[in-house]
Amino acid sequence: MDCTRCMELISARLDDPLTPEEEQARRAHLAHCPACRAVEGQLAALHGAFVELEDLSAPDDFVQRVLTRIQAETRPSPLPLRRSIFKTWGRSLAGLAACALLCIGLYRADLLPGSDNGASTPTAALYSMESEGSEPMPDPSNNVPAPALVPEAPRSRACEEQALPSPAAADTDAQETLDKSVIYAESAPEEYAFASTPAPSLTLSRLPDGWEEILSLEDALPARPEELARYSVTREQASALFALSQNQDITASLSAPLDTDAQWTVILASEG
Amino acid sequence: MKTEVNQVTEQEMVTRAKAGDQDAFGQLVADNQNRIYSLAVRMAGDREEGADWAQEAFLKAWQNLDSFQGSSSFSTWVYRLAVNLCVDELRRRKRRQAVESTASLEETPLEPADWSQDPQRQMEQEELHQALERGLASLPDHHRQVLVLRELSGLSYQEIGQTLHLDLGTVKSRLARARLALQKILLSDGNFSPPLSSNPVKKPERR
Repeated sequence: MDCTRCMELISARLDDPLTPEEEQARRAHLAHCPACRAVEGQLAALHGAFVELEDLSAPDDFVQRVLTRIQAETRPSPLPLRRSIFKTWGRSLAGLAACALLCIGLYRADLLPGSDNGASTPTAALYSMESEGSEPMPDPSNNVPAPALVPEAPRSRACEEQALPSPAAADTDAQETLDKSVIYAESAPEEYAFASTPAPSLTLSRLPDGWEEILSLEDALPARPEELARYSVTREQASALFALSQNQDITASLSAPLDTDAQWTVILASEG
Repeated sequence: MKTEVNQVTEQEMVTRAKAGDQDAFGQLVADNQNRIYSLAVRMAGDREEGADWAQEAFLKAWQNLDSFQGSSSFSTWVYRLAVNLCVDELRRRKRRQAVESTASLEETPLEPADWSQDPQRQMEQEELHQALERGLASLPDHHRQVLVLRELSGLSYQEIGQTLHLDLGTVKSRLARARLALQKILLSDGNFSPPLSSNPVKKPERR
């Protein structure tokens, strides 16, 4: 037996007993190999030192940091402005169109001529909703002559990536009212639809081919009785699985827009 | 070591946390933070990143609390969750870095380091532990990972194989290479002076 093989046995022996054959081969090799004997002693000492390693101390503010993140996850934050508007409008359109229209009224009331603040932002958000395939919003520019309402921002994704324009408003009141309107828009649909915020979920009737590239079985969570399986995944993973399932004609349903930046759950449930 | 009282308290905290009580969850975090933080720091090889991963693990635990059924203790459950998270993070890190050829991954030669250069001086326990932490942190991810899972988390070869999607043979050889790599680092660290006899050591306590 050569040193390479002996090294493996030396290492394996630290964790579990060797077979009688392996034990014999090891002893025979060590009898004439001082190098491996020395290494065996060193590895054993390392192994022993590991056992003695104590837990490191978490930083003093660790618990607080975790709780802060939990609070940030469970309560919708009013910032960043454009992103929350986008999400809120999406949810509104999905289930609470009336509320959304009311909020538009508020916006328009605040954006009457004279204010040319960052109106491109909420308006761009409204227009970007169109490109998502949802019901187009009534065109605000029909009723309000303010030039600010002409959308300058490109649609959808690009809109989110744009830097938030600093409001050009000389009129700070308009800006403040705008913020309050955002909060109003935030809280109303949230209250109705989302008392708590469970992880957004993607429900599939089966896993699409190619899932092994995306999903690791370690992501598996205990499944509920009516489910086939349940996994905890990132947004990227959920998007990838969703895209695959669309291509393969697999029934899929989403509980939130795919751009929801949070930990997702993938649920396998039989159809119907 | 968990006493009866601690188990009852943990159950109570879990029940409250499941109902949305964030303070109760904070207590669970406090009770488990050092273990999870240690695991994450050693897996990451870096304190800052480890702290991030540890936070993520607790966040994930909070988000998935309703799927915790209580068949194991909360400690065990969150630890396992953290192991999986750290493994996933290391995978992601590997994908982000320049791709090494598969050949180079297993290239670490298995011949013993030059044993004749063992320094003969005695060494304080604490120095050894610190050298060990340093050595761990300087290992490449794929070596550090198996060592942490085996030596610190107490996973069996089979469990390591399942967690990392490796067959038993690969786990065995990777572990051997990792130990040799660590030994080399410690030898060059200059602080490592182990006894030459091989003493039987007890297995780390299963978590």
